[in-house]
Amino acid sequence: MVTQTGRDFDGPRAVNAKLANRIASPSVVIGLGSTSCQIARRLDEVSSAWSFSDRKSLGFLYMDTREATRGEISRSSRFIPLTLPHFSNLRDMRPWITECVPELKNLSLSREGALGTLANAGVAGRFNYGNLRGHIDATIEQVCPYYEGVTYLRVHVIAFLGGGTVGALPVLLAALAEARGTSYNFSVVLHLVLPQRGMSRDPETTYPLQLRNAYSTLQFLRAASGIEVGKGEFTGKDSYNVTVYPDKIINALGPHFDVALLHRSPKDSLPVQRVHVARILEGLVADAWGTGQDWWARYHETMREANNNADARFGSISSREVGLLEGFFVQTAKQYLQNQWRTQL
Amino acid sequence: MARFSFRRKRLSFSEQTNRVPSAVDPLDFLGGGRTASRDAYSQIHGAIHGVLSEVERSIGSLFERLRPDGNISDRMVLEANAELRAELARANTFADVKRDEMLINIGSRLESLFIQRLVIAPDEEPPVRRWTALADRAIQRELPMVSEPSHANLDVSPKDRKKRLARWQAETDQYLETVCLNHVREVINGLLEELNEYSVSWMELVVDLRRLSTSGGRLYQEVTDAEHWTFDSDDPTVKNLLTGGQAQDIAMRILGRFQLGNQELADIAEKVHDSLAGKPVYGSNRVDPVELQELLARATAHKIQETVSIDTGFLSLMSNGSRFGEELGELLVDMHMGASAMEEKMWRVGDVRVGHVDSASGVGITASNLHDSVLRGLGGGRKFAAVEGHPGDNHRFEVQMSTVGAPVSDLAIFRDMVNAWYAWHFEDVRGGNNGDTSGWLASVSKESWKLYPDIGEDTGVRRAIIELIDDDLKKLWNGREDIATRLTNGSFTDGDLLNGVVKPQDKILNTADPDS
Repeated sequence: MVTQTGRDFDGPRAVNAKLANRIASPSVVIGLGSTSCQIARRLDEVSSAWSFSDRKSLGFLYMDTREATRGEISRSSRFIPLTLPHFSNLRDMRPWITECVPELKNLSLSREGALGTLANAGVAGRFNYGNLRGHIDATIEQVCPYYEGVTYLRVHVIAFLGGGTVGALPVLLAALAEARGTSYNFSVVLHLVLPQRGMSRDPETTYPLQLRNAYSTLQFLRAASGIEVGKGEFTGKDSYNVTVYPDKIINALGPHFDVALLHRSPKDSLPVQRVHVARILEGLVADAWGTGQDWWARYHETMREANNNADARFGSISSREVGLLEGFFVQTAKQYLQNQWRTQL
Repeated sequence: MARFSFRRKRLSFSEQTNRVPSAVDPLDFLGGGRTASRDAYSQIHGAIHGVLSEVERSIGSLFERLRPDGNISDRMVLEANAELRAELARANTFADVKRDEMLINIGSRLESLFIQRLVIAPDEEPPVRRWTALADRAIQRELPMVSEPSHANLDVSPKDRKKRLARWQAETDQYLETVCLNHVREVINGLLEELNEYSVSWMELVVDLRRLSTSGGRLYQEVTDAEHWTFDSDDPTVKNLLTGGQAQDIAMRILGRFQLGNQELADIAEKVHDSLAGKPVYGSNRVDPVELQELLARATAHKIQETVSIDTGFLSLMSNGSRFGEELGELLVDMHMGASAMEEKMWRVGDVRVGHVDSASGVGITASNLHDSVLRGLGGGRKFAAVEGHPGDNHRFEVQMSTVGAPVSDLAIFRDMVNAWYAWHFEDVRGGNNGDTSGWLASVSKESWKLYPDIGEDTGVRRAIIELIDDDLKKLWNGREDIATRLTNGSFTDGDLLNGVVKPQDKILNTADPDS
């Protein structure tokens, strides 16, 4: 098998890069977890070369259970630490805890617990809910001020499916649902980064945990998006309740996301993953320019034309890819030379 | 008694001026055509002669200043002598520079010719014999003496001075012509040496190329083996769905309408030459035949890509076939039947809107009946929204949210995910209750908070998830043979996937919440 790579994405783009108007819909990018924060930070850096108006339409929000992430992002960025108070300060049997963890003593506050126990981040998300709402509102207000009741906005949420922090995703989606209310009109794009064996710290023990987390989160997303299965006793509606600190029940009304995209790195390498996902994210955030413009145009077109959601999307052929075509034409040229030499010599 | 001499008089430089041609490109005879060796010689001669004309003009003005009827001083004669020597030295330098320039030019032209003939006329003998006759004309001559008259020699009566000046000028004229002819000889010798190397290398290379291209040869195997025509990218989001055989068919169609003109050939030769970065194509330290073949292929590929306009996309090349629409329809249906089974049954792409980003696109499928073919293949009522007609019979095909076309490695990840989830539910610590489903369920129930982030009894989506998984597992089990084959695109044996996930003893699996 002949392997060809090499995609020349940025050739002609670079010319008027600074002048181009890239963003039509103001966007808020939320990184959930360390991996996602790094991806968001990369986009943050790339977009620093964009025009002032584009930068103004772009906001970043970082969330992580790991405090060190605060030091890895720019000082001006909004960071929400998903931390819990000390164990002794957590009172037992509070609904916002027991909803996730039936018995408080089971709650692991260690870093190792975060990977295996999605509930850890879920609890931390509930505890920091007020902080979360405040930052979301402030960021939306910053990139897209409320104006006469209509605010068009797009929220990109990046989450590593294999991590522990992704456990806070239900709380984040609930916060977004509440923030939207009736005042805003925004769509949510989920960027779900798949775990890959070669990128795991310990492929034998950690990787299965990551896969398990990924499966659980996908099931949550399926259930939370209103799909009806079986008898449909518990599925079939896209709203759910989340209890948050201090004992407030949030009814998270769906739809919780408009499209979820699964990202897989071309190579088992963290830098490659970061660049790859950030590149796709960049394309989708820049919806008035290049790939993003095409992508959103096609998205709206297929959504409009589809008879129903299930019909909208399938199929792909990508032999147009430059790398593949190059290989093909070299092979064709070899065929030509072989014809010439075989017949004439 | 009259004495006859048949010896041809050697013409002087000034006499040659009107006889030698002044060709724009004195080496154009190397490019082919029917130039006789005499004409080729004249062209080289003309080129060297041309660069010496300026010297001849300077010498002419020098003699003009020493006109016979004027006064002449000792200083004037000394200066004239010195100036003449300087002009003659300048003539040698000019001729050297031109000779070197022509020799370099000859080398690059012959390299270009060598490459071009390899592509279009590998069976023809190199044009060496035509130019061997040039050797007869290339004769080394000794430079004649040019006298140095003193003041006393020229300070004579105008009539005598006229005669002496004429003799002196004739000597310089002969000198210039000899310099010219000697340099012509050097150019011709250089040309003949190059031609000799060219010829030897050609004979050897032709043998190598014959071995490469005939049955059993490396090139032969490369183009006949369909495996070499199957291209895949390292990027899992890029998928090429053309088989090797299809790619070969398309290549043959392209070559059927591909013709190389002179300009294209020259471009190919130039590209190969540039790629070689100074390494010669002929001669003793020439490039390896396989490397040369690779470079030729790359340069020709570029030309094919330019010549055969494929601006509307790769698939448009297939549109010539009578069954194009049907073939493409079948291909798309296959895709749907393959990986999209996973979407529909497991990832619920349609309903939950989870998709694989950056899958890809092919633009410019030109077949008006494409919709019909695809719709027929997918069964009635299913709308293929991803392909839509455009004016001018061009179709745009672009879908970017799909796991269809995703590589097997992605499907394997999903299998691993199910396995990991299954392993958690059925791990050893919960295996104590053999045959006791309620005990197992209680155990799972107690610890399920570790797995589901939103597991509230009355809130959250826990029950919905359980209902969903239960339904999935039943569907998986019921259609295990079918799904396994589709899911894995044939990479795993039938049932491998599900036998690893759902054991026969768990066939009646009730993961539904016992409290519900």
